[in-house]
Amino acid sequence: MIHIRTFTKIGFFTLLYFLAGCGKQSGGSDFDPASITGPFRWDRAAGETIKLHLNKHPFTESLVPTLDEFTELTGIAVEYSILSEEEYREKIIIELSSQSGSVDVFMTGPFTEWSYVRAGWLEPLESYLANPALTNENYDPDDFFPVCLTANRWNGKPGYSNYGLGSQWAIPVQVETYILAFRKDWAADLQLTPPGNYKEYYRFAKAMTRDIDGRRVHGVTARGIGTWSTIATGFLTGFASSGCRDFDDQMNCTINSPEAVAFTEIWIRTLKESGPLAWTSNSWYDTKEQFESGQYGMWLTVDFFAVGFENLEKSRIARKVGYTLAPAGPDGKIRSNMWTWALAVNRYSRQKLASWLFVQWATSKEQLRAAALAGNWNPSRQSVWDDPQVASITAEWDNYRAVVSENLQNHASVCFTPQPEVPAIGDRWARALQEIWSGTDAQIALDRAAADIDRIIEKSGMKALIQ
Amino acid sequence: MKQAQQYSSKRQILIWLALAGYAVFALFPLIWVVMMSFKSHIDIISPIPKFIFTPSLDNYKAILFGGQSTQYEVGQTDFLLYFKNSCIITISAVLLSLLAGVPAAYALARYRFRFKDDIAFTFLSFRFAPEIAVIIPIYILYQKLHLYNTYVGLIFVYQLITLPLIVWIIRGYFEDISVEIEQAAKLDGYSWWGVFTKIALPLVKPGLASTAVLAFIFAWNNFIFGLILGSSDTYPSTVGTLGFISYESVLWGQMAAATVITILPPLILAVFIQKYLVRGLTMGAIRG
Repeated sequence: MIHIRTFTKIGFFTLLYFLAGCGKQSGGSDFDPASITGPFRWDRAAGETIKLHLNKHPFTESLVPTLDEFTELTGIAVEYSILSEEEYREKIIIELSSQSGSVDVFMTGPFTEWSYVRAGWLEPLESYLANPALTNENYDPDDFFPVCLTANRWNGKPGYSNYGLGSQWAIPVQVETYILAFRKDWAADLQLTPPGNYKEYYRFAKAMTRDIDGRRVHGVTARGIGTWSTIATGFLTGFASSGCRDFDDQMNCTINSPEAVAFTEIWIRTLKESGPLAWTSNSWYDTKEQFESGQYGMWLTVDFFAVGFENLEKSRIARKVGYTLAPAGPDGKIRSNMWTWALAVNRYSRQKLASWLFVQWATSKEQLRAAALAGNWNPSRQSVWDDPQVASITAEWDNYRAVVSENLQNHASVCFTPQPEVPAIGDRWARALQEIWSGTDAQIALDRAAADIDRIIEKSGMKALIQ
Repeated sequence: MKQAQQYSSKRQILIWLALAGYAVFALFPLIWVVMMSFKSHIDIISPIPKFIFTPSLDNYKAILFGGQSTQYEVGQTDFLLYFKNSCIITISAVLLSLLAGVPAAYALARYRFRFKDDIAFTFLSFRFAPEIAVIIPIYILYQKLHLYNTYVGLIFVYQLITLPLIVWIIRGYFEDISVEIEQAAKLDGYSWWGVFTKIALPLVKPGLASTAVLAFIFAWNNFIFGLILGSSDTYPSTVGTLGFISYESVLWGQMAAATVITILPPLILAVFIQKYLVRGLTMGAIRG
């Protein structure tokens, strides 16, 4: 019995020792980028090993086969882990929140960065970019589309006036904006022109909904599951174009304002009358497959889905799709939401210099050009977008190139208000859309959602940071 | 008499029809996945579900040998590694649990000692909390102990799944064995070890087999431990199968092929020890 007690005590104190150790921050290194001087050298961190955590994405697919080239150039070994998006997002939060430096470089983007910045998990990169000892003179950060760099900056304060201010938290590797993809063959048959505003959008969808060869086809599709992704794409683009915002300057939720209710009603009515029968279970993948299978007339969606639509082997609608800008709001303006996948450095990484060298190499003109040629769309650099070989890929995709260029130059920005609770708020908002689709009055559903969202913001302590 | 026979045969037919209907209902998802694994992408996303199609082995070729790469949709070639990882982790975890759990179950069933019931309950309580509730502390511990992304670490953490199951179920089987048999063996000169290995263990063999299969299935299907505590080198096939969800589409055909291969080991295991499985699962059902 004594032995058992002694054994138990040893076990208990051993566990306490480890748990006590876990409470401490294990190591954000104290690396100061300004301390590095002299000429730029790729081999400054030779012999180190960095760990990447990557999302399953065309960028990743193009990056992985070239990692040996990076090791050869820098002497830095690279280990990596790849997961599909949902699991990726779950795991990266656990890794970053452990503050153990178990990951050095990872993929992220504007809305998720806002959570990570508030939690203090990201290394600001502007001092690396500004130091010629750390950044190759050929890197040319001005070559990135300005909207892509802006989307990855934030000063940590809530409110739309803070969008694009503050530190550079990540370097973009691709960009997506939202455009209207429609069946140009159907439009020609019906002598319709693409919609220029949301009333026309409703009528366009209605006219396209009909029987073809005894089979019902629908005028419109969209994502409809009860998560923030349903808000983030076409819906938010139409919402922002209609002059609506998710929050006012005092961070009061305004998704139930009169103009917001009016837009939401027309969006849902269009889907209800001309959209998929099970819209509320329409995921990203379902919607894409529906459209590619030739059953739907239009989709206000991510521009680069054109890669799938135009795939001659797998899509039934290749070369039958027209691309145009999203419909405008009542003031004639178009405000496309956007997203960039970008590379960030973990603040608790113990290999920050090596990590930055990797980010720099992976986002260089040469690497991003190779990535674009391997299918990583759209490029985040102007020079890659203008590259003749890259441009030739989209040559047969209707006027895709002109529409995306126009969006990137004049209409794209992140349409969520910067704050760290985008997923929670987006989930609640999406459920309100589902309620409206199921018959609840739009004003009532959005009032209830706005009240819940106000509570989320109140709880997050964001209001105390308003300036 | 004739009427009664007719009634009985009609009743029999109805029962068979009902059973056949239920079998189709229960097996349909599996049959559909198997069919998908032989379909092309166009057939899979066809608006009208296709039951008749030209079967192809392309999905199996892609996951076993790689090579399918069309624009965004890149075939995954690491599936065999993930499958091997699943085999190593699950088989080792079940063996370790049997090694540690069977004597523990015997002790809990036969011996009297302080905190006996508390210890037994503690084992059971490992199954109460959802894995996600404890995963962050375990992740941090594993980083510190260098058990992250190792087979040893995963085999160890899988004990949270397999050990309570084995201890609790086998304990019940040991309790069902008559104490008199063991006492008789002791009178014949057997030591406690002899009683345990020569008398008790052979008597619970069917139960042991069925419990081991159950533990194997639970461990084989686990997702969260592999996801959080493993990495590209050690992901099990449950995590690896998700690799067929690419950024903007799901490679349904390849995922179905991977699913078919992944369900084979538990299926084969269950078929091979079916004899023990039925006996094991019904042991203790009738108490005399």
